[in-house]
Amino acid sequence: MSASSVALLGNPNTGKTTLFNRLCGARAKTSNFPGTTTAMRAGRTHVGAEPMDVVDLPGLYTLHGDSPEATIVRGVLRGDEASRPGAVIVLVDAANLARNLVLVGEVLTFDEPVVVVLNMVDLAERTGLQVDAPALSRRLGAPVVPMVASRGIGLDQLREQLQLLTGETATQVRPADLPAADASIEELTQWADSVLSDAYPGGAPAAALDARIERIDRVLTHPVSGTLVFMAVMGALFWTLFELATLPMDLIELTFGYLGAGVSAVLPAGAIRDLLIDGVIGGIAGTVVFLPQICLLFFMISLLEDTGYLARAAFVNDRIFRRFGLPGHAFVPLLTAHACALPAIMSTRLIPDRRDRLATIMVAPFMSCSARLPVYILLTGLLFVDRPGWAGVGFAVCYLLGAAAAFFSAWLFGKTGLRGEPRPMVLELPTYKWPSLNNALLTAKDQGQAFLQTAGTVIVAICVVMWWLSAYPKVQVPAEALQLRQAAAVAGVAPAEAADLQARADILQGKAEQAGSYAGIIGHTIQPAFQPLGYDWQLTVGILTSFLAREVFVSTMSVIVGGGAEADPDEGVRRRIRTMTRDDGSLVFTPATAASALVFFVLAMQCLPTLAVTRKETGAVKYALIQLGYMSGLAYVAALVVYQSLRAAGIG
Amino acid sequence: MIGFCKVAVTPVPTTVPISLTELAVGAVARLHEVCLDPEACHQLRSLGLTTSSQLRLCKKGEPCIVQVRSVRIGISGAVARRILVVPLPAGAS
Repeated sequence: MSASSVALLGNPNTGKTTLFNRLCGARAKTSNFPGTTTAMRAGRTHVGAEPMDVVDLPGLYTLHGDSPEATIVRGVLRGDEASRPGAVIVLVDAANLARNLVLVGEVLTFDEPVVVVLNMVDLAERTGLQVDAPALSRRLGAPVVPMVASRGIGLDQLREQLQLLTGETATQVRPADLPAADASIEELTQWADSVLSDAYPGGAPAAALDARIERIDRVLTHPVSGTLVFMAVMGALFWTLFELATLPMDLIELTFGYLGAGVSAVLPAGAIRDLLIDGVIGGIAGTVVFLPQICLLFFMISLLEDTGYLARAAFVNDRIFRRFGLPGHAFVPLLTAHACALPAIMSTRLIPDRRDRLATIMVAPFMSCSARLPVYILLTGLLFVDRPGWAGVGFAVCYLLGAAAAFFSAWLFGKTGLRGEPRPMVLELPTYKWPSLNNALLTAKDQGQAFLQTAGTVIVAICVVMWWLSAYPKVQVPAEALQLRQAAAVAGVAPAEAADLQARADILQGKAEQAGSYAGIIGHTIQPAFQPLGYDWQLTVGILTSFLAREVFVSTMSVIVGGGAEADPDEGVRRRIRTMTRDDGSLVFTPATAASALVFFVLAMQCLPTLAVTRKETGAVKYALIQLGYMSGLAYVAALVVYQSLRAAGIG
Repeated sequence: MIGFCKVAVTPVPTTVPISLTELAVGAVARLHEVCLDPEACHQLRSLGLTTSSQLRLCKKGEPCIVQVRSVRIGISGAVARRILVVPLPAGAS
């Protein structure tokens, strides 16, 4: 940072994000503060003709204490000449000056020039609070800019003040009665009270109670009505999510399908074409297809957060979650995890306490994400052949099993590795407000970008490696397949019969290629470990490949039975999967095997991108490894119990 | 609850600290002591619940809601039980 940079600071819920977005627009970049997992947004604005860098510091109530946020902010303000911001904007809520001034007092003890932005003056005036900005400015020895950031009012004045402050001649005289840098919060509060008496022309106002807010809070935090409202809000959120995301997801799949077909038409058959279509294009499509869900989800969460509802919902959930060692805040990540574990883990940043956050990150991937859907559809169909009603029940049981495993594991972690209770909840209940569409759009964009950066590269790399493992080494076409093809090519064979012969040849060749590939060789080698779960080598290959990304399972099985690598196989392919046989000729998918595989997929950690995000968000590889080991271990044991119990009961 | 009715009608404020969970809805009190770990104390103080600060109980139960100046704070029962307050006579603010 330099003279032409400014740091943005303020209490939570003061409209800091709104002001940052107003200043920097859509060009901001989100990253982490060096060496931490705290998010940092940096952007650029213009002051006069000059560009100015803006850093959004984490929202906090005080610089006291050793929370990561306070440590980061103190570090930035105390930095050396070259890295220090040229000025600090402290954003305060005009309706809530007394507490906000504590932070102002703390910032004034540092050397940086300060400008105080008095935000939401419109809301304050509506409750009868009129702040005398010039008087406050004289009292603080720093410029005070009244603002309504949500409507852009006061921005020009702020830019003028920043221009003056970062000029070379700027010097600020601190108030004579400013508490020392090591003053307690109580001393700072006393000072804030004395400042306040000068800021309100009619004397400091008494805190008024708003009967309407009282009533709304009573309903929204009530055990019964609060829970009903919560279920309705979340139901609407996820319904909208799946409804709205379907179209763009279909379009993305269609576009990449055309792209693959285009490349296939242009390039000659061979390794490079396969690499491009199955590896690169398939990989990018597999990543981008989740983007609509992720962006929409964060868009809606941002809207909800802006209204002030999330703080109330956290209390409603805290009652239940606490019993399992999870904080009430965990409901957003755990619900999000039903769409995808990646944004879920990213959204645990809402949880203030580190233990609570870790517990939530560790169990969120148990929730049945949308990538498990195609696998559930396939396996419940195999388990309950021609009984769609029962398949539906099986489906619901999978979801419940995932959620139960998450809560059980949270409880277990609370008793072992992450010992301790979740921190009892104390939260500011922010004023109800209309949400900002602009903030929501920018949040969606930021999170989408973060997803592509973290997950995208990993997923594409995985797809390329997977493709290579299952395509090489090339094996000779089996003699039997050659004979079938020759038979099909004989003149006089009916077209339908020729197609059938060709299809049988394709299956034989596909099987041979799978068996001879590196993936097949690994599957054969590891199969004994999965024997007690009822899996033959083909199913073992399917399970192994899905450790990289579980949706790969369906396409692997399709390839093995000679279908295309489709995520949504047609009825013929499903029938072939149902009737596929082991090397000894018996069926692969007996009811016991299908149930065992289903349980395995519900519980196992089969998503490399999730592990990458866990590592990033926890700041340690350790947690990603524990997640992989624990979830997969639990999956193995549960699948073993299911398979052996069903066998013992005489089923399959 | 009867004790609070006394507070409301007696001109002399009681000085016996009680738990926040025992305070009547709508009553005003002064924060006396927080019997929690330092981190939780710090969190309450940073939200504005400093020693001797005045608060009003808006809602009892889980969570209880208090208002300190114009800030509304939701507090889970486990914390509220360990916050000791001294009720102030009605009309104090």
